[in-house]
Amino acid sequence: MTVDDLRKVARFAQIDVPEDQLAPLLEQLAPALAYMAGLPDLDPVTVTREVPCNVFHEDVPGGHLSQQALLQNAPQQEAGCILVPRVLE
Amino acid sequence: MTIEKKTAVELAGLLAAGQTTAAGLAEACLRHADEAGGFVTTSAEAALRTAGRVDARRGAGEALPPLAGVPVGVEDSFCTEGVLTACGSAMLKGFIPPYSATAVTRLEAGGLPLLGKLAVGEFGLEPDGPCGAVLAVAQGALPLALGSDHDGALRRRAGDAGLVSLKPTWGAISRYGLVSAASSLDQAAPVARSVMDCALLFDLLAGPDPLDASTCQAPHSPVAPSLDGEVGHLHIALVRELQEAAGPASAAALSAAEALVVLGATCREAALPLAALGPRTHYILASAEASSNLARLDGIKYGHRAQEAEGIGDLIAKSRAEGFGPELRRRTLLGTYALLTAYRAEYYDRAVRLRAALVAACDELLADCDLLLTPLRPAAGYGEALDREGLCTVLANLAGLPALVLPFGGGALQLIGKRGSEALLLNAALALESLERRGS
Repeated sequence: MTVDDLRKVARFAQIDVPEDQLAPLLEQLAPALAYMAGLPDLDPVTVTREVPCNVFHEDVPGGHLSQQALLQNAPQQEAGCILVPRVLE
Repeated sequence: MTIEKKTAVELAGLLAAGQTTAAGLAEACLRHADEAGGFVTTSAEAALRTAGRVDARRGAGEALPPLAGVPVGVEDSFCTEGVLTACGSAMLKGFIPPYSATAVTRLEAGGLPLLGKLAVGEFGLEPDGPCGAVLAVAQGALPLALGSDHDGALRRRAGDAGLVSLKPTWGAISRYGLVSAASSLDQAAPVARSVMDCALLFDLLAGPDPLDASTCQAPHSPVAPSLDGEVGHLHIALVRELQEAAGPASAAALSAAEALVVLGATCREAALPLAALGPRTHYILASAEASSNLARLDGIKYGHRAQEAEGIGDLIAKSRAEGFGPELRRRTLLGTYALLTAYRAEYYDRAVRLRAALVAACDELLADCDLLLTPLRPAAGYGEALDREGLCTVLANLAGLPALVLPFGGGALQLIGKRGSEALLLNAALALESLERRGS
């Protein structure tokens, strides 16, 4: 992984890493990356166990949480809505 | 009354005989909770309300579930309606779930007063994070606890503390409301002072849940009533690679094998060469799953929100950078990297293939025997640090198999069974526990 890779990974992971911390962080990640790279490649094998499959249910109306319950943990709210920074300029 | 060393079954016996009350037990445990440690939140009021209801029902002559009135604690990774649930993370500081995990509602339905939430490392991913479920039971503040097990750390800590812990088959207990980190590896897992306590807690919690489509669909048949410690029919295998890696640390497993043979079981050695690659496979998959699962924590709907940010993307990135601890930031970055289109084939896809091969190898071994008997961890000098801790325990998580640890012969050992074979596993453990108690 290069510093450029890490910058890109941090953007995808949505974790802010200031520019001056990229190189030290890369150094910290190096042993784990080397560990992960040590996994050999295997030919695909036949797995005999049941593979996970989709489980479908009838679409039945049920109970739901109240607006108040859903908003109770929102860091910022206004007029019954979750407040976020402007999305459209 | 001293409850510190009593099992849940013994306490249930005292309750049934009218020698104590559920409220009395809850109060005694709560008095001991601070001193014992392990709790991050106590919920005395709710616990005493549940206890009072149980006492009233008992007083009215009502038939009650086996563990009704026995205090319990749950790891802080289970959502509890109206009670703080932070999963060991500043990202969820102050989060009060509007609903409870299915496991929690089943504990309440079984009449177990929930005394509080137990410490856990951040989203269960911190290797040296706290393990309140083990601490509280080991220190005598609780007879029973419910934790979560994605890599066997809970089993290892329980084994070290002389306790019993059962990681059931993946899908046996609903994960609805268990804060997801590594979904394909996580499973709710009882911690207790005896095998029968584990069995009764498992019976209370297991079974299909319409709120979790990954639960086993067949109704759960209680295992506790069938346990008799009879092991004469069992075929057991010691996993050669794990025995060799453990060296002297395999003594408990070896002496358990000898004891089971004396009781009529057969025991042989079997090879599982891929076992050595389990921790590496697990590390990649757990990081990848956590990076995906924890993407929902964005500081928008709930959880920590950064105070200063320019725009919504910056707000999310800064909130996550501030809210996650160093290990979680690392694992999230590594997991994201392993899933990038450019590197996925080299990391994630390889790990998925390795997991499939491990599953096939475990299934093949278990086609010829009933149970695998292993040490808890390898010897101190074994392999790389990241390989060492989980070598013996991650197999069961990767393969979705039930696994149980229990103290034996001055150490601890692990039994691994086929999917859905908790009754066999618990029965063998009960036989060993009986021998251990007779010997002590």
